[in-house]
Amino acid sequence: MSMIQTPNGFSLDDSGKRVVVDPVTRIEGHMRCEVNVDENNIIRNAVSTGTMWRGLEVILRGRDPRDAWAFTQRICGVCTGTHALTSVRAVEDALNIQIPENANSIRNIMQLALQAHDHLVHFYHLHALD
Amino acid sequence: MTETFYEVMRRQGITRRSFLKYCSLTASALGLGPAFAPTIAEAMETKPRIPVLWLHGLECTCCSESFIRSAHPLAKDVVLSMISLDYDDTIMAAAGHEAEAIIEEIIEKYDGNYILAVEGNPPLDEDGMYCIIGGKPFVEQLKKAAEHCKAIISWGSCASWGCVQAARPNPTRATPIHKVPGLAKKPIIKVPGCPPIAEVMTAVITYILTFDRFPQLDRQGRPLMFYSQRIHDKCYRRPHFDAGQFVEHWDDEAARKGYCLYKMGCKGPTTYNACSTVRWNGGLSFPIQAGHGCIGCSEDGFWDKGSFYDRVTDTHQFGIEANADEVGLVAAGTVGAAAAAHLAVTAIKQAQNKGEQDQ
Repeated sequence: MSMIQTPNGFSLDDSGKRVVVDPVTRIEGHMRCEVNVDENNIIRNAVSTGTMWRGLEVILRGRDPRDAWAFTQRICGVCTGTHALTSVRAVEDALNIQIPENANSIRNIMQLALQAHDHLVHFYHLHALD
Repeated sequence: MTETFYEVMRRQGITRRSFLKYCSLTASALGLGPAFAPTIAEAMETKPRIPVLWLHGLECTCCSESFIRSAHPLAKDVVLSMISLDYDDTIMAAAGHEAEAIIEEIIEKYDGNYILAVEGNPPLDEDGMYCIIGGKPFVEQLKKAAEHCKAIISWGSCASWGCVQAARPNPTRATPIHKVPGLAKKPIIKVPGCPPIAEVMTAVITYILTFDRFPQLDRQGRPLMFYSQRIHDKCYRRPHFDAGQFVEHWDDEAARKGYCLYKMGCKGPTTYNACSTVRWNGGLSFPIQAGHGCIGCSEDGFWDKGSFYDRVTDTHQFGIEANADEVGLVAAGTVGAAAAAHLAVTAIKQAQNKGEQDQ
């Protein structure tokens, strides 16, 4: 067994056969997966890396808080609405805004519609091939 | 030889009658009229499918997500029949080095004959290290694929203008495709929008297959058939704008009645796109119909033009049939044209004032 230290302080088992999948397809964005497999075909170590960075946190700084949802939404085009809703909640929380019950219901309906729809897309367009 | 569209359709058990129906539907979707249905049918019967490499840079995949929702034509018809979508890391089966090998294969096999579709854009700072695919910067993959392609489709606002990652202060120096230094000089068609409308995307592909060339483009490189009019020009709430009936608060009576959202920051008057005519999700609705103003997502630099809820201050009125080129001509134009434009603005202002007095 050979242990190595990563620059950010993790120790990893670098023994056995190393398998790299880069790019990982049928996901949003870009990703790399590396695993180490021992002689019994058991994964001993796995690392996944997001291989893109756009700096949305940096871009959001100094913006009108009413617009934050639209920027945050662009994190992912597959689950857009969820990011937007989370951002809106964060802004409301920061400004101590209470929303009416009907607004909450509408948001829940939108979120659930997205979830139902996303399951179909994920299964038939992305996941089914596996 | 790659199979033709028609052969693939017949192999899938589609009758000739359905095929011809599909051709006329597509002709009308493209705004070409029934006379062009035979042209489309002929192209589909005789031409091999176009090989397409679909690359992803800094992006959110919303263009692909939009694309797979196309209803006329169905995305599956496009992907399975019209084009030969050989590489698209969102929907392809292969992953890792197998996926990367496909790019090499396409470049070799179809050198100079494939279409390069780009979703997202490359970051140029730190030698492109903010977007890595298969261990190499995306910008290198892009340059190589561009060198051997026939033409480039810039999908969405990222590839066309830069979009969110290029918004101030653009931390990664994300750069739209046509501005990437050292990129091979190839014809580029921009299909902006965040994301672009699904039917616009598939229609652009259908047009390229049918006529072996790009549709007519405006000066900014966008297809005129979809980007020659503003959202405002064909907006179903336009009569309320002309009558001076505006929503002033999100929960006022005007909002309930579906009045114009201009004062709530709607960017419809300055945004060139087909949302108010083609609409979204198979023609079901579009943002304004859902009660929110347009955020102008198909326009260059829309992230940095003030809040989405600030009223646009640079609205110019040149009549509802004006397109981007005509507006540009008038702006650069003669005293006569300027006077006419002034008259038009005055007339509308009077109409607005009248409307406000009525309220």
